[in-house]
Amino acid sequence: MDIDLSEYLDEYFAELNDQLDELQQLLLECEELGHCPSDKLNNIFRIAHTIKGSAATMGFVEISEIAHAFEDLLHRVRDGALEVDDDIFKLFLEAYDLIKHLATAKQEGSQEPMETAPLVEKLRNPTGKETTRPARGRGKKRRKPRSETDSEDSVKRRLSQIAEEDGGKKEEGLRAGLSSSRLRRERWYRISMKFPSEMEMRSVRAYLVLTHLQQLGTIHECRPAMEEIENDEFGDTLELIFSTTASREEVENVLEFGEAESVRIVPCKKGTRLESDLARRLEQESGEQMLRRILSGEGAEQSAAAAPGREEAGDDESRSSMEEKRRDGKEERAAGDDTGAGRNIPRDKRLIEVLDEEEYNIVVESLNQDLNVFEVDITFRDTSKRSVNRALTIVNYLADMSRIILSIPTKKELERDRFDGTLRILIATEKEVEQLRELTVAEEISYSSFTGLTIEGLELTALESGRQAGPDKKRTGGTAGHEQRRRRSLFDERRSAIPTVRVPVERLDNLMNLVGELVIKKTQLNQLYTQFTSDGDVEELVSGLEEVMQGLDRITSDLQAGIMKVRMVQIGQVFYRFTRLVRDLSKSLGKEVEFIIDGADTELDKTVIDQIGDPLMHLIRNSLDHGIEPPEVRRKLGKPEKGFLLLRAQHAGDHIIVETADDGAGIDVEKIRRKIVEKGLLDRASAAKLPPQEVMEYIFTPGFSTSDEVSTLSGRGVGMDVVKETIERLQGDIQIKSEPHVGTTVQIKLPLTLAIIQGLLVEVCGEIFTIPLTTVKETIKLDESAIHTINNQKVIRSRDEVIPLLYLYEYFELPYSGNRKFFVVFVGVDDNKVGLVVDKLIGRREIVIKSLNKRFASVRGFAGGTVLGDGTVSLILDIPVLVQQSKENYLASRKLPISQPAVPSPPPPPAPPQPPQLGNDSSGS
Amino acid sequence: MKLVGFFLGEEEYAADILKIREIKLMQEITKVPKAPPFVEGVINLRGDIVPIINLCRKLNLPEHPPTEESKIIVVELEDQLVGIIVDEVSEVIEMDEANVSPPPQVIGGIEREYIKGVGKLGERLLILLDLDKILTAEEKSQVAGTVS
Repeated sequence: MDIDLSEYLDEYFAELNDQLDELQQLLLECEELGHCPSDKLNNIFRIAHTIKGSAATMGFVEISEIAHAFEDLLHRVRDGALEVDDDIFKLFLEAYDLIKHLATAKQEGSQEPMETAPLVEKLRNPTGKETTRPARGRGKKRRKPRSETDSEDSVKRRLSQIAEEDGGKKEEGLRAGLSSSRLRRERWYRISMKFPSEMEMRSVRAYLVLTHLQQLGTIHECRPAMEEIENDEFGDTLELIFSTTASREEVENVLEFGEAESVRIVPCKKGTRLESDLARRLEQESGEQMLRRILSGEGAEQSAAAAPGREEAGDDESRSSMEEKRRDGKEERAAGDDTGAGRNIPRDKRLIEVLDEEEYNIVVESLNQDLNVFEVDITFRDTSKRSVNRALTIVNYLADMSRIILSIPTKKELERDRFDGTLRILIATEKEVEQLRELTVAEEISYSSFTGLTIEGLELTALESGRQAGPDKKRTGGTAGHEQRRRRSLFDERRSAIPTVRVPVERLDNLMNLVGELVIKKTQLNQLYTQFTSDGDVEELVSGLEEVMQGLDRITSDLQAGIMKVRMVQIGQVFYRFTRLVRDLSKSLGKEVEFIIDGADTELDKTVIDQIGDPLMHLIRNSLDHGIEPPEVRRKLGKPEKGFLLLRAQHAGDHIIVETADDGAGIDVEKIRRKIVEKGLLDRASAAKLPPQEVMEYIFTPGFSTSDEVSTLSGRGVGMDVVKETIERLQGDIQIKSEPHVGTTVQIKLPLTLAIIQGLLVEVCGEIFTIPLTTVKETIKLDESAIHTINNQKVIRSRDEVIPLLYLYEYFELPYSGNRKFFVVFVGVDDNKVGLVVDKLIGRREIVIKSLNKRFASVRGFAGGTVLGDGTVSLILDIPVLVQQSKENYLASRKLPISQPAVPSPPPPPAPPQPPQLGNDSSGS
Repeated sequence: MKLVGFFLGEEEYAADILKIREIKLMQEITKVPKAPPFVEGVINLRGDIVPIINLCRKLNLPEHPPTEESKIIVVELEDQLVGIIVDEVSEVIEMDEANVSPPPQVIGGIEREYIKGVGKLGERLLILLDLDKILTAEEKSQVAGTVS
């Protein structure tokens, strides 16, 4: 019974965390509403339930216990035994918190036993009045009738109780399971379950189903064997013979626990065995495949065993397809029980639509004689000899008790093994449909061989309208007066959920690598193309290349877009995390806040999503703490008492804008000015001159806080600088707009993805570096005469702006190459610009960003590397870092007492400029 | 125990084959400005960017300009790939642990902690390097100055 679950832990926790997120969101929504609408309650119930079950499976008794008690409480709410008030909501959230806490601890590998009893007790007895354990809702009559979710729930409850047997609840669970089953007679079933091949933890699910089935009855045979499943030797199909006294519904519900793709449960005779290997192999083939194989004489041994009737078919015939055979069959059509021979009737047509005159008359005649006319339609699992025999038995059976008007295939055809897995018969009989069904499905013949059975009665009127719509065989299907005939398998209606795929990031990264290489190949081709065109001859080759290139271009962009989509995640999963934060925080601050989330379905690259949470949390905290005023202040100001906080995401071209907006106090620019001076960042005069927008920028300075009192939440001066840093690392941009007493809006602009970007390739001392194109504002040829020096800081005047220059060869300490011609690449982050001085501009390329080895190659100033068309590596400049560096140097230079006239100094001597004089001693740290 | 033998100058060394992912021909290496001196640069290894260590420089051995025999041995270290430059790769050596003796105090200027032992193979003496230690030891402090 031991199965090592540890390898599924990751999966389990990932699911659990998703469930907890959803649970919290639901709880908060309900609290907002002040009550639990039944749909939400059902969802909460379902989640609590799943958490309980899976925790029990994974052996996390504490989590399971809490979830169990929580579920009980929910049950009482649902039954109306308990009114939901603030205390109950608080209890809900407490339960959530504890589960979350336990989950986190477990995930971190904590083995310590945790105290859950007090809360469990509280959940069981929320009002403190009851002394005994409250009766569970299961047995009670419900206030309103409930549909499947309920019965499903009750079974799941039972299931998880079974799973909890270690906790000593086995007996209760079993009793619950059995008491509701009225049927005591033992029934045998043949069960086959197919799991989606991409499903994780298939073997565990299969194993669980088996263990649960063992609680319900006896597993006589199982394929693969339980031991094999334990060892994870499990494909995707589980087959077993099972007997039980429980009702079929109960069995089905247990099977549902496996979340299989398809489940087949067919009653069978006592003592039935699973088929032999041969039969099983044949079963796995589709009917057509098998026919082809048999007909073409392949695998003679098997086909001889499976279809002894084959000899009858001539050699010529044996190579023809089934369809041809059927057409041929028309000629040999005979009267009597061979009626309908060789007919090829589309599945979407009813037999009644394809009758010829004679058959039609029989139908009318029978109906006039008060006989019932039925169309029996049986779909068999396969076309093995075994199924053929079943079909024959059924035909004989029906022939005994009714008149067969039409049979497809006919009895004779069946005897010759002409069988495609379906049997369709039109009969006239005295019997009623129930009798017919009973007889057909009687254990004798019901067996396992068919998967679908429909019996439809015909009435004269329906018959007439069917005929009138077009009496001959050319008529198209789906005419008026007919319901579209639907094939119903015995067990196919399964609860459908939106299919989701959890893709390990590692796999995505691999794909990303592949795409990266494709992009490289494309670049290589581009280069080849350039070479050829410059040579001028070999025109044909060029046009051929052009074609290839275009194709490759398209493929790569498609692939890139496709992969990118896989990586895209809805930002809602980050946004909704904040509902709780806002609720708790506003309560503790005594503020009333309406929190609105907009654009939660906006998608962003997973990497961005993973990192955007912290910055957003800071912003939201700031808004709640400093922005939105307490109700009494707001009242005095004439604002609505309830504050407003918006968290929104929206598309803007190839960017996403995430913003937080509040209608709070806004940022007091003058206060910041004072702080700037207080902190000695600027003197009073220059601070006073700064335009408001630039003043606002100082909020992002490390250690800068305008809050007079330091609260426990924010205002400690850490936060905004971290926010800015994170956003810039994500190649994003942050802007603050604020008006006193109106509110503050913070806009974060983020790229959709970080993986592939446009880059500008530049050369410095023979090395090629890449600059992300989004940061490039302008490139110019360096005109030495435009360079000025302020306190050793070289600056350049460009369009009335003074921009500091950064000589990359100096900065990176590369050997001076003797180059005298330079270019300047103006790069900017926010409003800060820097001119990077390079030797050469090479051009613009689509580049794939790769990370550098942290230990050996992670150097400040580089954001990563990329592989160039020739396979060599180019390092990507970390522009925010370089800009920050220059800005600091520049500010430092401006702050220095000006020893030289600040007016432009005479142009510096032409290159080589003097090595490091930039005062960037701190650059290395 | 299986080892890969290689030369640094005239001396023959060996490292555990299980640590070694692949051996590549010398190729163009992109310099990483401001990286520690023993980091020769980075290369592209099937789409991954792998740092290349100059082992001679790391071990304070005399350096030789790369020759046609120079190779890059790619080692997996804490889930990341690192390449090391060696002067020549000799062969895969099967060695009995019994033939390995503990390292003497100092061998040719290499610190003792980097050496697992000295292996005897007939007439040949092989210095068994502990690549893990070499590549992890004290790098933190050395690199710390440049890591962002």
